[in-house]
Amino acid sequence: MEMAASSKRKRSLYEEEDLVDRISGLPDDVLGDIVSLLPTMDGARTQILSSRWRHIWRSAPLNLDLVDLAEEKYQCVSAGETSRILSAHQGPGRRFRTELQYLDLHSRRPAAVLNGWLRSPALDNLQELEFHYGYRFPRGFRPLPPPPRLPASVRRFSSTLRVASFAGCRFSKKKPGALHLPVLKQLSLVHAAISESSLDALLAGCPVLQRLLLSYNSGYSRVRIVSRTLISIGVFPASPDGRRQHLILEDAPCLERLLIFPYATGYTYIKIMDISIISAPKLDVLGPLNYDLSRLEVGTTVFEGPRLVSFTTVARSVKILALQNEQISLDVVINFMKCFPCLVKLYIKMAGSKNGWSREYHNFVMTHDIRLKKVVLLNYQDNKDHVNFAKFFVLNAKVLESMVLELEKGITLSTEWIERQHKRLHTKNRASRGAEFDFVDHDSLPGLSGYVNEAQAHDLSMADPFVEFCAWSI
Amino acid sequence: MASAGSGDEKAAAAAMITLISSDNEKFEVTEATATLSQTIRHMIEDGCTDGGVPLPNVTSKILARVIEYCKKHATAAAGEEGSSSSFSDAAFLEVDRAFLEELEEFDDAFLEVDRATLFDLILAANYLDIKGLLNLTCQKVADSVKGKTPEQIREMYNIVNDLTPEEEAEIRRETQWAFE
Repeated sequence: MEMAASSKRKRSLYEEEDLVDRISGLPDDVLGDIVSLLPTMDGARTQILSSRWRHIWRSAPLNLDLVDLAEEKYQCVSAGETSRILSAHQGPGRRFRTELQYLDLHSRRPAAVLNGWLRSPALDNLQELEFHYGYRFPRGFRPLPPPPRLPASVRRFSSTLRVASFAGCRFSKKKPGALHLPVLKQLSLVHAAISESSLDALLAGCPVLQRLLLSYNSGYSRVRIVSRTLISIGVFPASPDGRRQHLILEDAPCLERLLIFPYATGYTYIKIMDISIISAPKLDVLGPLNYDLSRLEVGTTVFEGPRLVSFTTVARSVKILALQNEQISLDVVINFMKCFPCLVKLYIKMAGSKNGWSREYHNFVMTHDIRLKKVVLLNYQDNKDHVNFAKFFVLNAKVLESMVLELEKGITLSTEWIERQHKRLHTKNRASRGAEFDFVDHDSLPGLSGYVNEAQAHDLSMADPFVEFCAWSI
Repeated sequence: MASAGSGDEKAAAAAMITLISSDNEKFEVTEATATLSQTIRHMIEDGCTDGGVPLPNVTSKILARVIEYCKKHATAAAGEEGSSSSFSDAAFLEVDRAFLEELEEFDDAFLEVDRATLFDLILAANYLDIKGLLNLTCQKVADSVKGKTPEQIREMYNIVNDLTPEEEAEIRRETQWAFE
């Protein structure tokens, strides 16, 4: 009896509870926090919920994302409108993001407009700032005009910025002009013009930086990484001034990943970057490596393009490697496996095909312990070379758990086709009894895109950024 | 920690704080766990924790959940301090990553509560000034609201629209860009 009564009471209480407006009862500060976590338009719309909500958005930390807003409205946001939004707020600012291409400035100078906005009290104590003056792709043979300067008013957020993306702008060459950003965790420099000494000074001015993206910048030919806090670096191995850039991981004790964003084949970028890994003892995710790298040095081991020129040092920390090449051969892969002997996951984007077995292969299998647990081959074609290539892992990877073959566009999966593949790959004789084989068809095009996904570059939530490797090519 | 034998650990075990919920239930927690709350940290610094810390705004049911969160995240904070002192230890990386993933899973599971509990947790996190918990719970509410129309949000959270048509028109006029 008692039980029944109490459960009945509970239910009615629950129902009552269900009809109470609990959210409006939260303190102003908390409601403000919730509103500032919403996309810009959703945040502003909360004003119309009720009288309780009417003034929350205006006093909440401002989250103004003009890119998001333009995309949602399917039209550019005008400069006047932006100024009105800013003047309606008293600050502080949480986030401000703008890209020139989404702005209608009515021929006003972008640097002056942005500078003015950044002075607005609405953005006081800004924590996240992302702006983009525009992409800088060379047109013909004429040199590019210098981009607008980094707005001077950025400096007023020095002590509060946690996330910064400076794109399409020019950095001052003067030494005292260097920014000191003591709490900055994430930095993107994209299509920016910056001298070598300014870049060094900027990086030195970010003592707690964890995530860095350098993409298509000009003005320097060498970047030295000396940081006790960096966890992730993303680079795009090309520059608009055609300068050969050299990335040197000189002392990066916490660095876990180096992502090298591939460019689309057929583009006329000047695609050159040398990478030297001197000290990065925790580096565990690397790639995708491709021919655009003129030279890769791992300690004193040297690769020139795909060729192993000198083999003296191995890097045991690297566990996840992605490779992509026009003409990938087993020899090349074996050389990388020698240099990174503790690989657990290997992703290979195949294109053309070239050779299967080689002399190297026999020696390698005899002398090395292959620890691969997962192998993913993208753009797999049903031809002799690709079959032989894949078969190497089937027959030699003793602890393999999973092999995924993502098929070239145009191949239709059928039970018969899969059965035939199993025969061709000799999966019956697989070295690892527990290995599973999956065949997947996907829609991506061969080759990789020149699109650098900034969010992907900085996203540390996924232990393996290549899980969606096929999405790297759009 | 309490069962360990070394002198250091005994000292750590000794630094226990008693928290008293609104319905008078007592909770013994380590100082490391309690000080995730800035409010309690200040009380400890001011030496006002003898005889227990009364928390008249927090029920035992909610306080138990809050302590569960703090215990988990206090371990995480201790781990972070540890890792910074052993840069060279490559094995640490694996441990760090596994623990971070575990923490994320914990947070996801922690948020699997009914709406009433979620709001109680927000109020407790705000009162106790526990930044991580406040961010976590506010984000959950924000995610539930994201992309919804004002009507949908009102229905979802039982918000009564008490604005007059004139007031509504005024807001739409002032913030035209958000309502086009």
